[in-house]
Amino acid sequence: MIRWWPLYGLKRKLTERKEYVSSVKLRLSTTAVFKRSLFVYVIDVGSSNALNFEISALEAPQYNIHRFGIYLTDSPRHADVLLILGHPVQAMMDPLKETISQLPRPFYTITIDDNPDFPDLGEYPALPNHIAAITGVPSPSEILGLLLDVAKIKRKRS
Amino acid sequence: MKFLFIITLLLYASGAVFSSKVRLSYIFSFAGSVSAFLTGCYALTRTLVLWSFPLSHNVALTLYIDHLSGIFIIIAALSWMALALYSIDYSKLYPKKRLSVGFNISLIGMMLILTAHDGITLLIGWEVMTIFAFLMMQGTGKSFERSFRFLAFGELSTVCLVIGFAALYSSAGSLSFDAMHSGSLFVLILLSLGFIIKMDIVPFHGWMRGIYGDIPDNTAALLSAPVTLMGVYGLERIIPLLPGNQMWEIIIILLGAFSAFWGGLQAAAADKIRLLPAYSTVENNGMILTAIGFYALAEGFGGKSLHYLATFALAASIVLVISHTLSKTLLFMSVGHAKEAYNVHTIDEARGVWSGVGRIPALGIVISALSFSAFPPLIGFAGEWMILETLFQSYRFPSIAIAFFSALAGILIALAIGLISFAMIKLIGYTALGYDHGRKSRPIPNRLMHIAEVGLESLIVLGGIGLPLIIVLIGFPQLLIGLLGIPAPLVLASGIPAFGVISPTFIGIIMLVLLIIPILIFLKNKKKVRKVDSWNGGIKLKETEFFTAPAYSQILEHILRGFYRTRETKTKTQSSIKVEDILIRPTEALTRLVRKVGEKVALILMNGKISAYVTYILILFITVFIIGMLVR
Repeated sequence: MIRWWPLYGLKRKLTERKEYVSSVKLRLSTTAVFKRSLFVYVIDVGSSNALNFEISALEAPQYNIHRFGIYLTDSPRHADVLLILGHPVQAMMDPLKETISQLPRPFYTITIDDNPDFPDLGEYPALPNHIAAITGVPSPSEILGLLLDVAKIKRKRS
Repeated sequence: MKFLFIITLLLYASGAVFSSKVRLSYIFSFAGSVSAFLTGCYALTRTLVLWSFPLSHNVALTLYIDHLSGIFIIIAALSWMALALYSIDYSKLYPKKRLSVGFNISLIGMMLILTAHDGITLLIGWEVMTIFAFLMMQGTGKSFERSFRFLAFGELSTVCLVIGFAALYSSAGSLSFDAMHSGSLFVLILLSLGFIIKMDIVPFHGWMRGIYGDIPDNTAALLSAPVTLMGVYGLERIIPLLPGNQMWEIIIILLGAFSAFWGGLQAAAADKIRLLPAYSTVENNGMILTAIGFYALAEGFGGKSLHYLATFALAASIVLVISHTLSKTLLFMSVGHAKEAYNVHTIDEARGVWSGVGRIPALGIVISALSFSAFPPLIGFAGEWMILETLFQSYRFPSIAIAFFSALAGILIALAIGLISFAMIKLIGYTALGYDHGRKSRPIPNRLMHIAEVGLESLIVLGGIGLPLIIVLIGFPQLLIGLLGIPAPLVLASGIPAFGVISPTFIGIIMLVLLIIPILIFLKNKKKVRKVDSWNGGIKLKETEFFTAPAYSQILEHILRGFYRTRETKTKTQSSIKVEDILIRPTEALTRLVRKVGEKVALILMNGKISAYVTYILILFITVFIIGMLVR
């Protein structure tokens, strides 16, 4: 449907068309620590590249996570949440442990396992403060919904 | 009293005799040093001829103690005691017989120097000390050629002293120090040069580089603190006897100041754990030399104000000597302790002594390094303040030229103190308090090492706080006044009319009181700290990727590249920055020349032909004969 944008814009907000809802339930009860903002460090421990595209979409204008106060950091030392992409391969186990040891406390870890049934890889290792686990390749809005849940950021409804 | 002195020598001698039982030998040297300390305490109170053995009608071998030798015996004995205690534990790691013999006999040599009252006794002590210190250096069996350089410089100093005393004999007809007043400028130059060479003053420090890393711990400490102390003692002994040679005194002042600057400069770039303290010795002895030269210069002018300044300079030199000997012994012991525990050679490899080796050696490095960086109220602070105050009062001289050169020396020494602080912060930050990266040291016997280290640590702190007591003991109570509500003997005044005052005692008390509040707040709000490695993308840091000590010094090496001759060397895989000490080039050139000439001479003379050798002996004999005839 073709809309006449100027008028449409006057009538309703252009973004915030929909509510970002995650289908994944949080495993732990979140505290009020990350109420206003959330800093996320993303580590890829063995995903197919699909998840990286979904994460970069979060920073694009369509989702624009910055307006909620969610930021991607360059160092785990600045992060509140560690977002782990993929099922860990052997070579990435040590870097993953090192990254977790670098996180300031309190922190949460979220895993997105795009390939849970791959035969050669074993069980998913136990992680500290593992608040949510997504399997499969989620849409960006689902990831954003989860992050908003963790941060308990009030969503504006359109 | 003679009894105590003989006991001292006997204890050292038995230490040398029982050298097959190395531990026992060092226990003897400790007992001997305690006895030497008591001798020094006695010598502070009265003057006494210990022994006199007439050789001819006007030459006698005399052993004699007075206030000056008392001061130096006490300072040296404190260092010897600590080193002997340290060596008892060290002997388990390094049970060489040669080391304990050398240690004991070189102590006898130093004791002879400190009690000598004539040229021959002094030279006997001098040679005994030099040769046995050289034997101690041979312990590890490495770098023979470099340790020969030490011997060469030692013998150069002996040659200067021999010619100096011979000149004294020819002009005054006696070798006793009492006859020194009638000595000429030539005597003064040669004798002071002999002592200056022993103090490792630039450019006579060429033997140090490359050898300090390989010699045993106690040898390094002995060479750096008590052996250079002997040079200072010699200067303090002869310079007051020959005042009024302005030109030579200005040369001494400038040489000392430049040596201090150069030592600080090279210490700031040093990356070997032993080389840094070694260059710090060059720096400190430079300052001491400047103070002594300044004393002689100011004393030569006369006048109330300059006389006071001269006295202050002399006091400064002795406080610096105390500070240097105690702090350097402690620094070498702590650094050696860390070096043995980790079994390493560079500052980078010996990181994290506090957590990896122990708190006492780490505290030893911190306290001695802070003392060298002039941190109040430690004794090094008092010494360095005194030398700067002395030099900044050069405006009191009536002659512009002398005032200018003294001020120039002041600038160089101020620079040296800054550079040495830079170097010492490197040593503290990397070695003592650095992050150990999870490394643990090997267990070594350390109980007596700890006792020695704690003893010297407390002496350095107490010596700073109790500076007035030291000033009184070394015989300068007239320098102490009371001011602004601080009671009478606690303020040290640097000039008449007033120039600057200081009271380390009060600084110490105020620091203690003011520190209580922050410490209480800190203890109340103490947070748990978690230590992790530096973040490197999740990959463990390699040894080569740490922020290294050379990287810390790199900025200075780049800015002062004219002095350091900084250059970058690149290979396919890595690049590094190289600096060098250009003032050891003459020594190295001389070494090469000697080797070349030696090879040539060996080819001509000692090529297995007996006839060539006999000719050589014959020519030598005839030459000596002819010279002897001509002299007669």
